[in-house]
Amino acid sequence: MAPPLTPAVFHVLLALAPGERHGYGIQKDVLEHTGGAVRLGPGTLYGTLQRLMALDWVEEKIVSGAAADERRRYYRLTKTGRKSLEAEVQRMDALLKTARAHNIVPRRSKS
Amino acid sequence: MPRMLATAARLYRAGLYLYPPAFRREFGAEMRRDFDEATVDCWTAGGWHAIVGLWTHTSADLATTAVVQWLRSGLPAIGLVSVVCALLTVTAAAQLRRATVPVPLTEADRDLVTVAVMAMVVLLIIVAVLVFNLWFSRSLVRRLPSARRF
Repeated sequence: MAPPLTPAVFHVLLALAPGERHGYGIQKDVLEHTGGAVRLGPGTLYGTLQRLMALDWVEEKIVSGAAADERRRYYRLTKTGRKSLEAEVQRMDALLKTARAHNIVPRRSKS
Repeated sequence: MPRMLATAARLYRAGLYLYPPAFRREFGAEMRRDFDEATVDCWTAGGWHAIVGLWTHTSADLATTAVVQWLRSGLPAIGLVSVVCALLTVTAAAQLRRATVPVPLTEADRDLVTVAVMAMVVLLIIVAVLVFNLWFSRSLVRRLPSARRF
């Protein structure tokens, strides 16, 4: 079984799940997803992206067209990256089920 | 926008030089752009309070991730191996010299030999760093994803 992902890796993969994003877009998405609790600094973000590209979980995408800011580099998940994210979510789901079985999850989260 | 924000942007650009050159070349431009955009967003959204929060967080991130990137670059290990190799070489050379040439007699000769040995150590360290760095960089370039894809 693969070891759990680090929070930075998980948040970056989750931000890229809907589609390609540029670096600052990923930072803003993570901030929004976590209600401002997690703010990825530039060094953490690009260090994580560097590792994920080396693992072939994330790749750069060249975006063309008027909507895309051509100065930016965009990143997107590869199939391997999506599988890893899904595996992590399954692992978290199993943990959540265990927590529910022990009745330690707040009632409103049980639905 | 206040002049202080422009000064902060210049400071951040200077701070990026704390990262290893390879990382800076790969992501430096984007990091600068992101910082500029984040500064504008924070200034618009929350004024000085948000700006101070951004600067504090970014400075801490810069300090910690610069160390991580240097460790990941392998240069500290290259430096250590180079120093060990240089010291071993000088030690071996000194042993050979002792076997063939008598120990210097005067104090001035001893000082001269000491200086010569130190210079040799420094030169060998420089040469070893260059050799290991070149070797490591070549093996690293082959692994870089950007080199593979584009």
